[in-house]
Amino acid sequence: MKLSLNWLKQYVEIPSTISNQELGSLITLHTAEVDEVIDQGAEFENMVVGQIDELYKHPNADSLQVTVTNIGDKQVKIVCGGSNLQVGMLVAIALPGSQVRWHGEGDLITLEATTIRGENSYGMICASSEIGLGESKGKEIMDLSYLNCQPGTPLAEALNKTDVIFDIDNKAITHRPDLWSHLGFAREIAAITNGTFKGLPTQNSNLQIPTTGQEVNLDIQNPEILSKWNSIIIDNIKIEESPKWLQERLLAIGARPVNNLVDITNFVMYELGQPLHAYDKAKLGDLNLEIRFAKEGEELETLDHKSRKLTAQDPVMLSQQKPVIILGIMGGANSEVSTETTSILLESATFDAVTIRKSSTYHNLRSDASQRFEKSLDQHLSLEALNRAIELIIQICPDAKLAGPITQITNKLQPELILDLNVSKVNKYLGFELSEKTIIEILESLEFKIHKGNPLKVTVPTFRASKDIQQEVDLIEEVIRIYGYEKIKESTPNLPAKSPMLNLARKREHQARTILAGYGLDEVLNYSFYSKKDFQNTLLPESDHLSLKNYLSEDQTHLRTSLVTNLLKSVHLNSKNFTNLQIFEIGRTYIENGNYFPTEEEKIAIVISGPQNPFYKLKGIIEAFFEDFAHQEVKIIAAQETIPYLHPKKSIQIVSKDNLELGIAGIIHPLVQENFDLKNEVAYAEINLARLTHTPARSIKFTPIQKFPGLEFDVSVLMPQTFLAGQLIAKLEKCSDLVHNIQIFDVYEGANLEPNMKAVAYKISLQSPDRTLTDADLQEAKENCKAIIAKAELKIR
Amino acid sequence: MQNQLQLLRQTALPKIKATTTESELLEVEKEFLGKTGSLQEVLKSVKDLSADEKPIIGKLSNEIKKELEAEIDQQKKLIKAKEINAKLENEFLDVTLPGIKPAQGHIHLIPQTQKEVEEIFAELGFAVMDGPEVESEYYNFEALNIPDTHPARDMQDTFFLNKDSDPEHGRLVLRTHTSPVQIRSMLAHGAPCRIIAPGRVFRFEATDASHDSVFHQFEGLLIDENISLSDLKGITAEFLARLFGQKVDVRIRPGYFPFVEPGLELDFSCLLCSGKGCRVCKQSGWVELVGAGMVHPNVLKAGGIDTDKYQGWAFGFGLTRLVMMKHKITDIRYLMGSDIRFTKQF
Repeated sequence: MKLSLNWLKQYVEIPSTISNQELGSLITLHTAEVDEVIDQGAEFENMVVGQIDELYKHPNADSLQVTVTNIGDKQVKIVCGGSNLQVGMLVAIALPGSQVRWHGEGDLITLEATTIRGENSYGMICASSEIGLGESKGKEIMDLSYLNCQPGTPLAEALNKTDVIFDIDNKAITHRPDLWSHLGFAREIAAITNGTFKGLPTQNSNLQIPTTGQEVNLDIQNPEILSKWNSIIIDNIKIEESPKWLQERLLAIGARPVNNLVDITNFVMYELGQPLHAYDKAKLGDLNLEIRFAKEGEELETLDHKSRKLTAQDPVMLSQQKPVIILGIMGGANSEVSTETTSILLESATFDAVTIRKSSTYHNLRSDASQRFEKSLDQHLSLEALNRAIELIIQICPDAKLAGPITQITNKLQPELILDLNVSKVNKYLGFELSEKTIIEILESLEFKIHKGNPLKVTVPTFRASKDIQQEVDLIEEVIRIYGYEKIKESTPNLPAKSPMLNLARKREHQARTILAGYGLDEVLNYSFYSKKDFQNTLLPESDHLSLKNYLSEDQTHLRTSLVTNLLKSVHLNSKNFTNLQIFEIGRTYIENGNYFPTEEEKIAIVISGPQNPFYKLKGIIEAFFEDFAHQEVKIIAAQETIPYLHPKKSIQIVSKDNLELGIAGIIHPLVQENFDLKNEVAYAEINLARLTHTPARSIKFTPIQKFPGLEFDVSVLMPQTFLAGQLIAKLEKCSDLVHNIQIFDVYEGANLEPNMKAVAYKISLQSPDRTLTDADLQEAKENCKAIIAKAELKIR
Repeated sequence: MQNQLQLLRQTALPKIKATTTESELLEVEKEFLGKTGSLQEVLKSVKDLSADEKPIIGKLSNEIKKELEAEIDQQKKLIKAKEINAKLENEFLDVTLPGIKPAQGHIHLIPQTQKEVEEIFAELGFAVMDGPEVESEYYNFEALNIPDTHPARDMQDTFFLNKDSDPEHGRLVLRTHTSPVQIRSMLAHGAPCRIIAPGRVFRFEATDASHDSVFHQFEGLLIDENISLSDLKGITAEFLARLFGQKVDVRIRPGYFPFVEPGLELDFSCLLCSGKGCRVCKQSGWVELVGAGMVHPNVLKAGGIDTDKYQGWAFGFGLTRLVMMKHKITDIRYLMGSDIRFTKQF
């Protein structure tokens, strides 16, 4: 919302020691954030109106002339190329030090006194484009003769560019219905600058409101729509352009002047914060009007010329069974004031905030009026605003005739609000002492009335009681913000030392991250959503998914049930720049479980792409990870069930000792690989961090370091390629009581072997805690191995 | 015999001195002192000597043996020293060639900073709490003093889920802030309460260089019997000073959030320009990162806290914005973009 300083000054005297910028920051620090302070005059600094006294051709340049110009206190010579120069003309002079745009192009430059082809030139006679006042015609300079002012008058003053505009952040005043107006801000400014609040100019006491005459006859079916109604009928209106002062007020804050009547209602809204609406009386038909919620099937073309289908939550007024307005939001085209209008019904009412908000949100129709009504306006404002509008109409259209009394209906009276305020509580909130006297002074500066005692009894002014002041803490805020947050000193709370509750899940999460990054993996974060096509491409079941009712794009309609989908996209994205990718992500998945809240768990996902056998690289990472993470013993087994997006014969499961699944891993299903347009095989693992955190921790016990040397031997076993070589280890362990460790150290496929066969080499280590091993021990183990291998129907190579 | 031994000694000494390598020296040692060496050869005939001569010859041969051994040792050291000097003389390494790096992974900037934040607050006695990202309207709005009809809901552009609403909880949403964790923590652990809650939040709003639909925040909540605005200013300043490793000025001004009263915006002095005014702080010298305030009594009540006894403050810190500010990141979308050229920089 924009505020004009000139306008504000009608209602408040601001101490002259406060600069405009200071006023802006005072408003920011005490009331609401000022986005920008726009000083209209700033760009015209060092510019004056000058009068050309003499004019002659430049001796050394055909296209230039030399002028002798009166700039008020003296005459100066200025060289100029303007095509329309004349003696006696008033022109805009940019003096040395001012900033102009040469020929209306490029950046602003600062002028200096100079010499042009041998002739001194003290400044510049400006074309309109050179000082930001619109396009100029050819080589013409700006002719200001119409201004009729003295040479030397500052240009800003001559052009009436003396206003300063404060642009207030709307979000900072959503809770303050009283601040959606100049009068409201004037009151605040008085309080925060120690200025004097003058209020509205005294109303014209000659104004006679008739006690009888025409009136509307209102049938209010749903009184919850409005708490207060005021209206009057005015005849003999002449719709024409507004006077200049009124247009300027509106233009200053970015509002477009329309005609005298619309401008008056808008002016009163920006002045007092109360929206009004004028109906063309002739178009209403008769004065029997009905107020109720709309019925399904009813329609209205609103002033923005859109036809709106009304619903049972839209507050409407009807004339002859036809809606003529969505109350408090926007009028209907069927009762719009036009240049032909001669009689009006002028309404100023207090509508229910929630009703207005629901209806305007539903229609996505935000007007200046609805924006104010949905903040809960002060009921008492509506009559004041109507009186103000009547006064202005009589002033601006002197022929206008009030055709009857003001119709006033009160459905619900806004109660008087008196709150308790404990001085001790204010100080407890602050953390230091503020005197009762200061507290009372502050509240009184905001028009609160105080009845002394303990606690203080505070009567809330009606313009604050309608919404934001409801309880004691609201008063405390008033006191502190006016006193000044900047005066609060930093302190540390006087609390007992206490070690905080441990968040084990978070600790483990950071630990996992450190371990994986230590292996050379890079972490990414992905969005929590993807599209239906995405999860279909990953072969994930739809039934597990939650979908968004509203979404930003078709790519982001469902919540992820696995990190795999977006990570495969990450692989695709990054493979443009990297041949070898090792990425991980830690984040939540959301799985529909039939209950209200979905199953939300933290997962660790790892993806490997690029190396020859990504599976083994990944498996190695997982093996090392569980060793380093050292949480509990886990088993890595060939997958017992299908994981939709993994190759069924190239996948594994990680399970706890008591067979709880902790994660899965494997090569991405070839179809999924195809769907994501991935050139290379990709290995993927997903570990359930939540589950891992909640399984009991493993305690590692010391194993004595072996004193006696061990023995080891190798055995190479020939087996079909589809045979799971890892499963033979458990059997080979039985070859001797002395087996300490068995490792697979080589796998061979190819020449010298039958097709579909592989040779797997096992290294078997024997060890005894209490003696040196003998050759006999070795031979016995070897013999047993042979038997075990034969029993497994395999051969030694 | 004595002459023989003296001759042996005179022959051996120059030979030892003449050696230049360890193996040559070994050969010479073997020749004179070995099992079949010259000394043994001479001593073979000791048995034929008279009892008077035996001790004299024995003593002399022992002396000569020791002398030669000492000489060999000396020569060994000399040769070694020469070898080392030669090495130092001749060997060379191009130390400008690159090292062989271990695998170097990278933790994403957001969790990196989040961990730092968690650690700083843990040292100040704050526990780290979590809450669901798929949240109920009750926890995300109503319990935080934002009823359905409240205009403040406009500020919270919310993602709704396609799911039947619950009579108590309302519709299911993606949390628009970390504030619901306040309520959940109060309900779970009561007062006093000293927590932070970092996490992912969601906004249904068009994305551009400074807005994204998913970003990170952290919530702070301190409730006890005498918690004041002075403490809020103090704790925030302390946190920022630790995070940035330098003194940071904090400015408080009014702000509106329904779940706090008084409602505040906390600005801190721009670190890029030391408060002089620059592009990042929009020439104001202040950077706006935190919404805060004294917890509204309605919120305390929703959390089951006795408002006569307890009061406190809460803040919501923009973790993503903090990270962007700290590292001068020009586009927020890099953070969730999963481009590892971004991750690898930090």
